[in-house]
Amino acid sequence: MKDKILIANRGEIALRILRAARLTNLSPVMIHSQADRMSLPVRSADESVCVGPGQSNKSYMNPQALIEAARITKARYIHPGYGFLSENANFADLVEKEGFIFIGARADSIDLMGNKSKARAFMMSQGVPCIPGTAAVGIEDDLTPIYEQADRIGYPLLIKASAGGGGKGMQIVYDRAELLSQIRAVQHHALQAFHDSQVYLEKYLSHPRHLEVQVLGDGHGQVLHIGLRECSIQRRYQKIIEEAQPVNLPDHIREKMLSVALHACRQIAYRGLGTLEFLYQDSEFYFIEMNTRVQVEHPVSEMISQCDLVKLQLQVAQNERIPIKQEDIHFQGHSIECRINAEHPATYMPMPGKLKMLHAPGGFGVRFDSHLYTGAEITPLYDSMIGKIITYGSCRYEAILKMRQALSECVFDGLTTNQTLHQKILEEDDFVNGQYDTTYLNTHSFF
Amino acid sequence: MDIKYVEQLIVLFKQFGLQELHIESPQGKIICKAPSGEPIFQTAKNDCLPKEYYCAPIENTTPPTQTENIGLAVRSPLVGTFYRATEPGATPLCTVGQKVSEGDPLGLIESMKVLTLITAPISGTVESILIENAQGVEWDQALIILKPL
Repeated sequence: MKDKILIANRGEIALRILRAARLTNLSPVMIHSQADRMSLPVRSADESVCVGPGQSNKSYMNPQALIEAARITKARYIHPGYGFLSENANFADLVEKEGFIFIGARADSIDLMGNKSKARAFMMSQGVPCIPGTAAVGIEDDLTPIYEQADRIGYPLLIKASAGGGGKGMQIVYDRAELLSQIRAVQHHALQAFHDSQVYLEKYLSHPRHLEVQVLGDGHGQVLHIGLRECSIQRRYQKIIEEAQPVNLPDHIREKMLSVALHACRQIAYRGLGTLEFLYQDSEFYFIEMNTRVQVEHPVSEMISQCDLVKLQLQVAQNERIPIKQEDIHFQGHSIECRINAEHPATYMPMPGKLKMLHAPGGFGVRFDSHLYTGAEITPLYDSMIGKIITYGSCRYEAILKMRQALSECVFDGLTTNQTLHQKILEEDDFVNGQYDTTYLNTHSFF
Repeated sequence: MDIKYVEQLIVLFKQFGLQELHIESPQGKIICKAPSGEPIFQTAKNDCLPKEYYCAPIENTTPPTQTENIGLAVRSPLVGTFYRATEPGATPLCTVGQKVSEGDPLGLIESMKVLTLITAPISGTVESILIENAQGVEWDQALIILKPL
């Protein structure tokens, strides 16, 4: 009898994992909420278990319900996908304590990378460059040492609330004279908003690029890289277009980024797929965080390496070894991914609805990863991403040409999506020339 | 289907105090339901979404509309879940009878993991709140009635 894999997620990534399960002799068991009863991954699975109502905190994020689903169906593996419980160390721990195999990083790695300051301290100890910053200071603390540290880093600086995140509780300070008043202002704001007045200073990067390294580890010290990705086209601090490999990046930077990433992951005997994210500006790169899971944008790395990353992830879980070697991985051509979101293309306001008719793009080097079908409901309960178009070309320009055509072929009738925004970006000169950074959508106006 | 398997299921179902369990496999479909009592999983209106949504492109906010001498209806600019406070257990952003100024926050709508703040389009008094906390709202649904000052 085949081993079973419980897919503890939904949407396109659930379908992606299910497809890989079929390649590795695993029988896919889908969990789902009441709202996802009719979803494509549920209908494609060998078995399915309803784990709760539509609200994700009562279904997809309910650890006990997922464990019970695995027990009832006698699953051997649990794959958390991305989002939901994928980077929850307690869940990873619980899964293994209950006797299942967690397809992801070990709980200790998730815990280390999930804590910003711990991750930063670890990376610095391994010689990975991090954004220069200061220690945290509370509202009662003396600021004298901070002045000295600020001078050493240099202005402009960013004041960040320790408890903040996603762009909240931040303030740019341009010179020494405003430092005191700005720190106190952010501390007061942080105390009100997060019940914690602690803030720290960080070097302010005005126009960084977002680059990342894809890694795969076997959990015993063997770690491979599957190249770099560029993910600088972002809205609301979320990526919408990704490419592999990054263009206009000096070779020595590329090599250094790969080697520090591999070194750090080998030190913790990293297991599974992972991504180290960096900011890059003025020929310097800085580690920002590590995602200990499969990422939305993994297909662009697959296209240029011809490695099925999710299949490899499952094989590592099955055999505790990576079936390929670094020298077997060759990068060729260029790949671009556009995330299709059910949202207003200009305001980014979420737009749930019913997909009256879907027409997917096609052709050589065109891939459409989506759980959608004609008649599908896109509920307000979950993320707005409804699919990904990925194109592959022999060079970047060919990938762009294919993406333009693919975007023009797509029909999402009945839904408002960001399809037109993608079309405009793919025609814009700075993007086409590969001259862009994370400020792109703030500095270019399309509507 | 193996009757032993069904028996085991029933034992587990009771042991873990489940209210409802659906299992589907090529061999068939099993549905277990607890006889009575409060359901663990909320199955009320909240997660039963309307079948059709109105999804025309819209601007940031929908202009308020005059309802016959009662006041101005603040309408939902999107489909989602309405919350009266910024976090569970916190003080509601507005209550009936409260005076609000233009731009003051009145509530939040969560849709697709994004929170959209609903603000007062005019200064006035909160005349009535037409929707319960954590309830689903549709596009253009009246949420709050404001009486202009």
